[in-house]
Amino acid sequence: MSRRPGVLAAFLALAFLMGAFSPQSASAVTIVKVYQSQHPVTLDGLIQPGEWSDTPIVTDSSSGLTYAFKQNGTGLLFLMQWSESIACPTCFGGIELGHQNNTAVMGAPSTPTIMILASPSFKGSVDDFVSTGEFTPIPVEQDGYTTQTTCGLDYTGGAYTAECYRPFKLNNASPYDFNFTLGSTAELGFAVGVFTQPGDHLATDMSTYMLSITNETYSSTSATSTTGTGPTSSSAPTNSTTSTTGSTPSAIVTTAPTTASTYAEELLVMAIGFSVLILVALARYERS
Amino acid sequence: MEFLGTQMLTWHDFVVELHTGVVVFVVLAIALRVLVDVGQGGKEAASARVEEVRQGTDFVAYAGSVLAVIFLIASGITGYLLLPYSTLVGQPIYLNKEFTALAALFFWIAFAFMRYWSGPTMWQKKGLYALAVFTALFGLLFTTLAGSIGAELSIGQSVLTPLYNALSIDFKQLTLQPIDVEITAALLVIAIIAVAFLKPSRKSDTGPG
Repeated sequence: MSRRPGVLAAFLALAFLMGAFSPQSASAVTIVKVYQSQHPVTLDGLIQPGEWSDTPIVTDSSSGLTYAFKQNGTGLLFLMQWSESIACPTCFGGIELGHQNNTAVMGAPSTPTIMILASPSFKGSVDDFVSTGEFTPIPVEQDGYTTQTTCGLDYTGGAYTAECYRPFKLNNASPYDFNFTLGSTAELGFAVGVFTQPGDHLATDMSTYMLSITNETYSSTSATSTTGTGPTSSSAPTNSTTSTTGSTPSAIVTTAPTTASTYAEELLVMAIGFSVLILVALARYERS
Repeated sequence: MEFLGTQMLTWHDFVVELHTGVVVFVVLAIALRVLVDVGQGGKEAASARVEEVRQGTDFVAYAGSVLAVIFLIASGITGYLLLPYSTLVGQPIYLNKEFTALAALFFWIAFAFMRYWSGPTMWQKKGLYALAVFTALFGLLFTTLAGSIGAELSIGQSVLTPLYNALSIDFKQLTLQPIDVEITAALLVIAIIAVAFLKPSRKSDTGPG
């Protein structure tokens, strides 16, 4: 019985250690909301006035890719724009979609990701790939499937612009592809590079962004922070995530740090509260 | 990441199977104990066979809860090593997974602590008996939820998916809110006050045993 105080102390320490689950200092995933489209988009790689004014246009600093997402009820519309000093046939820019169980930077054999790359080198300017990390991404056609994405690509003013669409309802898609609906989420990555220099591209990892498809409509006042620039068809995107241009609606989004701290608080309250409950009960019945 | 030449995910799956299996035995033992005691109608004196069952279920519940704690800690360590920390705390489904797993760990530690502190006489005091059963049920609930979310992460669904769909629960979207913390705190304060100040009848201080 001499060990009882030690065990009691250990038990109480456990309750407080639950508070060590304190993730406030961690970098949070940026949630990229896919808003409901208010304006139609012509997939020609030329940004017309108003086409993308119904969603935030943001530049990712890691890849240098400027992006925007929205949904029109039947599919995902997205804009990609990246700087190139000259037009080159092997340049590419794209996004990567990962399932929630993916833990790798570019997918893994057990958790492949879907890459959607726009490039002048592709027929139709776009191709879908299955990526498994260290292996060269495989075009879905190689396994007998069909690219789901349609893009219009244009090179103007020192930048490539791709306007793309992929339907929610897939047809002969890779089994690793995404059957998006409202409420769906997916890991999201961005990449810019040149196919002839495969190891020399700019990209994000797959834990920085999360795509979240909503039926919300966007207004510039709904943004919680301003972190991007809004390119136009006559200006190249910048690589900064902090500079802003006056009248262009910009930026996203919500992040999750407050949620994480709420979990820590809940765990702490539950552990300490229930520990006190048990100790009170033990004390009462020890006396009786 | 690998350990002893085996992928960490494989190790994680292995220890998760272990704690899940142990928890099933613990809960079955407690259920058998409750059934036997209810069948005895609260009488302390019992046949030798009943005493054997009581001692056996007590041992399985106590030893099993200690093993569950060990395997849950191993599951937590192997799970923690699977993903970058920023991912673990950045997406609702991982937060839900960690929360339920840590809650399960806490409740099984609490159960083992109660049994250690009180000894086999824990089952002879109705209040502690009830609290121990509730603690084990909470442990089972959170262990089940943690395992279910793990299945959703690894294979996209679990046997509870139809139930979640019926209740419109989506762990990829569901997040705890500050009001949940306040409700939990309020309920626990009420429970503590009830246990501390409500006077149990003399009859309820001792139960079957």
